[in-house]
Amino acid sequence: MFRRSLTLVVLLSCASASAYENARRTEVDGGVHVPVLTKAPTLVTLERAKYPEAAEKAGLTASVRLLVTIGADGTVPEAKVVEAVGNGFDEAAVAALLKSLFTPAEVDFAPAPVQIEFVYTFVLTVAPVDAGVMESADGGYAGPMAHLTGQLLLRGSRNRVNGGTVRCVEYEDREVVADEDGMFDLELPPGLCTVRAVGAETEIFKTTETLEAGELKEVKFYLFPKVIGYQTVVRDKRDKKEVVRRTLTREELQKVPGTFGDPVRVIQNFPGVARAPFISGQLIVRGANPNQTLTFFDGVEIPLLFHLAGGPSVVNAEFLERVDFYPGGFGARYGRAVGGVVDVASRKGASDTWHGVAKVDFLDASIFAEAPITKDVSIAAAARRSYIDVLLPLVLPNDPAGGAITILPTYWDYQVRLDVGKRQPKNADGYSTFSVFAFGSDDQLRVVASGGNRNADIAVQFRTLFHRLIGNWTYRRGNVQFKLTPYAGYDLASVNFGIAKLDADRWTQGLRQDLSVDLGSHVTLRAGADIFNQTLVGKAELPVISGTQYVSFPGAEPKTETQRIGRTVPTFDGAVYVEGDFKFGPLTVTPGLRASHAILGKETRNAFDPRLWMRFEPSDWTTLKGSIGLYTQPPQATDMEPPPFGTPSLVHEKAFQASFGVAQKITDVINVDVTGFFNRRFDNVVSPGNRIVNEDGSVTQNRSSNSGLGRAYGLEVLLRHEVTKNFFGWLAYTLSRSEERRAGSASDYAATSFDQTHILTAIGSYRFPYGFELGARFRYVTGRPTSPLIHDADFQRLDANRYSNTFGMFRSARVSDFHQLDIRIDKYFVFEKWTLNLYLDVQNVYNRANVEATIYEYRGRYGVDVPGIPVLPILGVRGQL
Amino acid sequence: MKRAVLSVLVFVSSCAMPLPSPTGVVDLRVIGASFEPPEVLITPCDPRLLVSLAAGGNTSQLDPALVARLLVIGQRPLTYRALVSDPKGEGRELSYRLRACANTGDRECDNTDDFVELLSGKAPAGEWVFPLDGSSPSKPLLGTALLPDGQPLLLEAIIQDNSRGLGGIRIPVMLEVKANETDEHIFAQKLMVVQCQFFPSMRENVTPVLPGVLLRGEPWPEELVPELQGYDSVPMEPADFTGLEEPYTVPSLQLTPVSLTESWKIAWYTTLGTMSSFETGGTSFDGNTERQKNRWQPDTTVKEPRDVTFFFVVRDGRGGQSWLTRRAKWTP
Repeated sequence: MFRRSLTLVVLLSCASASAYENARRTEVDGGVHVPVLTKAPTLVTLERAKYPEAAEKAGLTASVRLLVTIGADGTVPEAKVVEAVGNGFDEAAVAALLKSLFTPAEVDFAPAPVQIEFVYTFVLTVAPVDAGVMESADGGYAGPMAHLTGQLLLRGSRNRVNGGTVRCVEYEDREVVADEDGMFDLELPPGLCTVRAVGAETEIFKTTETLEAGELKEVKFYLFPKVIGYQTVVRDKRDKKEVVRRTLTREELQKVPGTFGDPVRVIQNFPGVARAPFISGQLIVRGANPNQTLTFFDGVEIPLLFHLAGGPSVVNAEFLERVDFYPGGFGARYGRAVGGVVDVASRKGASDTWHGVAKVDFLDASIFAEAPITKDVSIAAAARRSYIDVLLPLVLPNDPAGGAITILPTYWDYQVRLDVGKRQPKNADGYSTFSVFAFGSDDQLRVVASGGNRNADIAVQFRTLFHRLIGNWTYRRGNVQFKLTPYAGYDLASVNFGIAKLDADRWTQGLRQDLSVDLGSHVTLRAGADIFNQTLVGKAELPVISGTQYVSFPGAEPKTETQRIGRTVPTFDGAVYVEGDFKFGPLTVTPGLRASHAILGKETRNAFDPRLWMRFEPSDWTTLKGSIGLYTQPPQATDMEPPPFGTPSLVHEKAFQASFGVAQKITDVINVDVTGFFNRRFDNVVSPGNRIVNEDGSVTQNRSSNSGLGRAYGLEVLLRHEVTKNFFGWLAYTLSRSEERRAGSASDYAATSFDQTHILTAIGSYRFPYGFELGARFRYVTGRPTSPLIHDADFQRLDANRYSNTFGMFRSARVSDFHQLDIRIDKYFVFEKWTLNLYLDVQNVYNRANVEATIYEYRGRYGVDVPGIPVLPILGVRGQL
Repeated sequence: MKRAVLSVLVFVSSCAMPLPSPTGVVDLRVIGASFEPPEVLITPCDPRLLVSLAAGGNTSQLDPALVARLLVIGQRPLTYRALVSDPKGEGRELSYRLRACANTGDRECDNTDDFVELLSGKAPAGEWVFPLDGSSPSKPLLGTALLPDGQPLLLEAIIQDNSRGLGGIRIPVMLEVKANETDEHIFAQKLMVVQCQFFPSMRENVTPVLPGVLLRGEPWPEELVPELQGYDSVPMEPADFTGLEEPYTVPSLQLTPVSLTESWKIAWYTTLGTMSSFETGGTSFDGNTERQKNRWQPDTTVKEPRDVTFFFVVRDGRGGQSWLTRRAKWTP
């Protein structure tokens, strides 16, 4: 525990808003023990620094930024200057801090050493003013005292300024330090008080108050923050066995240019993730198909990632605490995926006071609010609604066919989370925390085109809706943590297209249970269960489907009878897992096993996934790590329907994943991670499946088969500057190759359609004075594979009335390389109780015509490249209370 | 949604790219091809026969009369027609070859030992008519053709069909057309269908024939050459063919009857300008049947009067195909 906590770093000081943030932070990664800062350190005694003589004479003032290590006993064994200011201020501040005292920080409710950033401010004092007060015998004031009491709040957000100091210039020795709620009580002789209040992250607040003898004057001082926008970030070094786990905080999730503040799209900028075509949010991880990477919200899989199949993610960015991304080699707690895993952690409601965020852009508006209900109960809620259905008719051109076109896309989503639990339990009998989290999303799209000179009226209506309710009970006692997460959900998918109608209702129930036991300093065991049950009730009214239900003939689809199809398809997947960390000095070996039993429609399937991780940490700065393991993903139960709609013989998709890497800290905030990987996928589900002609002449057409093979290998490099006061960013580079083929085929491996040899992404965001922030993202990606067009004759299929293009060797060429620069500019206006944020996100700044697709002349004589989005500015407004 | 809207915009912008319309016939093209009859029905027929034949198995357990019927069905005379347009050719002679093969995926129909040469020659563009009735060596029978290794073409087509003839035994017939002066080279594949009658309700297909064309809502007989003036678009549509679309039956993959009705699709061509739609009619996958309206848009870059030829090719979705030709005089 000590080793872990030693490197726990609290950036942006305890004085800014740590109480608020710390209360909000919660352990969401139940299967993997996550050290959590449960109590921030507060300043008890601040040693007064000796004002450098020369600087005092010259009338100089300064603020010295320090990285302060606070021991488990609250003393300060080390203080390092982060930004030297000279003139003797740096040395004086270090000497003062080394003699100062804090209340110990607590990690997982136990005192632990931490690091914080601290700003020591040197202020020149002025001569005391003769206030004409009564003097005591020793020259002091002898009458009734006055009290200046109140609260220090951060201007723009109303966060508590924990540890801020308040004093009167006239009575400098009576300085007081605000408590963790920013409260202070300054006892003074009556008369004029020239107030000076300052927090570690605030400018000096100046005002004057006149107090009467015996008066109790209550005030609220709104201190101007030195840095606007970012909130306190707790960054710890979480125990991790995985070779690669990339973690994104809310600041990074919302500020990466070109992603529109969309958390899931930010992940696309990490190594190992191929660039998705256009600006879709698909996650193509280490050569795996997008559907082989699963996304969880607080450990529960969500059925839909994006609104309207390509819009913003259904998870409101304001509601996020953190996103963990595992490109491979993830723990045994996770399963049902042969690609990667994304685990999105929601945020707990505030415990200090209520806060809110409202955001508006040209497509939707969202609101987020959080508040404490009692001392141990908090709530957070968010909602979003699009209004593009209102705006779109204003910008759509008139129907060129002379008829009427109606396009009505709408979406909304919501999240509500209630947390119950003590923040700092001390009882030896253990303690519990509870939470209930409900979230959901609804998307509807209605397109009607009719009349005029068009030959076909179009009437399409899509709807996808889901609700999820997740409960959580976490019990901690000593070195044992037990977590139970039951959940339930309802999904609706509905399509009306002409006479075709499809409706599918899905009812989901599940349970996750995670147990973690520390058996001394050498062994940690984790075990759990992951039970998932779903029932799909589907009904459809469809024309008889040519090519699926009968052999089609090219040319003109016939009129058919309408058929009614009804299905009830059950899915059950019960899994148990166990894994243990065995520590031998700097070496940690973690074997793990996940076993699952699945009932998919009428079929049963079992899977056993052994996995092994190893970490070697010769120092706190260097880590060598490696993993091998088997990963499986069951087929969808609906894919196992009898032919021609499914293939009952499908089995789990499988992947053997291996990786080896090294992580090296360069400074406290800069680190580099280099990882090599090899993934071998087999039994991939591919379509179409085999066609079997039976002896009676009937045909069994399997919809799919397990004949897909794939392999991917490469090297990933991530040079990252963690979120600090003014800057965050990273440089990601991937060198990789992903290939695929069909088992039994004479063809050799060929590059997958998403194979991208070089992927380079550079991201940086810097805060400037006066509330400006500038971010930029640059990407360079090797062009995707394509088959070269060859034309030496026209090949015409007269029945279909189409031409066949002639291509050279399959995916033997590439489209031109992709490169693009995106920028984002934020401007913050800080008012007393809230902050207004205007932002401009500009995609493709230099208007590069990147190739996203190719369309061909009708005879296949030549192709024309389709460019991606041109330069595109998006303006948005965000208000935060 | 932003991404969805942008994707739509990109798609729309791609549609607006300067690619030629397939409706404009400006160089050598094969506009259509047909067989008469478009389908030969083996009546009655047992699906086990096809499977057994394809497997090279013993057919003795099947009705000998049926086997004999299959073997003689190839004696059915056929007529192959092709409509070839060559507006820039000025009456030049074009080389052609007509051959048949067994594999519908054989793009040039010239895999060694897997095709039959039917006929070849030279002719100027126009409607080419090739009788295949076995009355002379230049008029070979298609159904009885033998591959170079002696295997009947019809049998090899069953073997190479992964549905073993359940959707009809489909014999690809390739018309290869060359214009030596310009290196224009076309391979045009038309399928000849031999269908097993699995159910009594299955009837032999009849060639679809458009009853006529309407120009600005008025009948446009073949002998009428109207004068069209200006650059405004001109509405055209086929004469009403309600009742001509045939109901028919096909076997499902499980060998149950599936009742369907033809939904004719018309392809539109012009030798000047473009048509607003390349194809009209047919039934989309959602079950909606499209209307048949179209408009001719003169080429606004042409400033001189021109004779214009229009081709209207109708397909019934079962292999049946025919066309109408109309002419007009256009002045700017």
